[in-house]
Amino acid sequence: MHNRFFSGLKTVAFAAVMGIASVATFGTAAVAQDSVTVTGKINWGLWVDPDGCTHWWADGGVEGYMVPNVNPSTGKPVCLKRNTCATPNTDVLFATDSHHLTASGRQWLQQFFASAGAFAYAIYGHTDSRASDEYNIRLSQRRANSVAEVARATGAVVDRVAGFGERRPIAPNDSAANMQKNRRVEIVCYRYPQ
Amino acid sequence: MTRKFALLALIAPIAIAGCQSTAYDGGAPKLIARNVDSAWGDPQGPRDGNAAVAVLPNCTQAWITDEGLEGYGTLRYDPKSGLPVCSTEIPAGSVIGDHRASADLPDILP
Repeated sequence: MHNRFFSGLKTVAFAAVMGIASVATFGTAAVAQDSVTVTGKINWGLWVDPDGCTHWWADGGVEGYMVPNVNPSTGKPVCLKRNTCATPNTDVLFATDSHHLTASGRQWLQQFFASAGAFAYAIYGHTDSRASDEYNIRLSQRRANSVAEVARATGAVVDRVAGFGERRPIAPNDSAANMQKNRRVEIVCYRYPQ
Repeated sequence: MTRKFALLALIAPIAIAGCQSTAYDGGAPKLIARNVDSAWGDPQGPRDGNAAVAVLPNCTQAWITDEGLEGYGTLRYDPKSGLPVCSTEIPAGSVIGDHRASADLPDILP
């Protein structure tokens, strides 16, 4: 009886201390955490999803863990080059500084969307580094929208349209040939398991 | 499949008896999980390129795969932009494709 009372009292006292401690934690800076205790270890494996992007996985017996493998600096997923459906050069699709499609550009796009056969698409516009960043963002957005209009007119589902301007070059903007590479529209196919 | 399952039921108690707790006891770090499938008779783990799509409540999507004793889920990304895939057409909660990678264990939702 005495023991039970004592242990009960101890629990209450402990709870009271914990309450104060948690208030202190939220209110002010608590005691500095200068060490961590490594309690476990996981040997991670890599799994490749159907789009080619990689994920870390581990089997814990009767449970599993899986998280995306992202680039620590950019936060972007680490993917094998697998999914892009087409990357037409904008010199073919548009006149310089214009978001109006050329006749041959429109025809190429119509044919592409009629035959690509994906369930849905994402369309991303890119420019080279000439003109201002802001101008290039707007130009690439307008161009991506023009491509999306053709896609939708052919009955395609477009899940995302974006313009990245000059911010995502695939080559350094240091020569005419490299700048041409950067002037592009990326069309990503969203396919689903059959 | 039936025979494999019966065999599994026979060896499972022995296999469990040979396992160690992953709970931390103050000593060296415990191995919690590893990159081989611990389930009996299936050392492969999730298969590359093999998963179903599950549409989440906010339109983004997850890859899901059921490996028998464990299931895995992870976010689906657009490989070019790195943005999540958001479907405008498929209702939230939908699953597309076969999420089951292994037929060794019957899959029941209690």
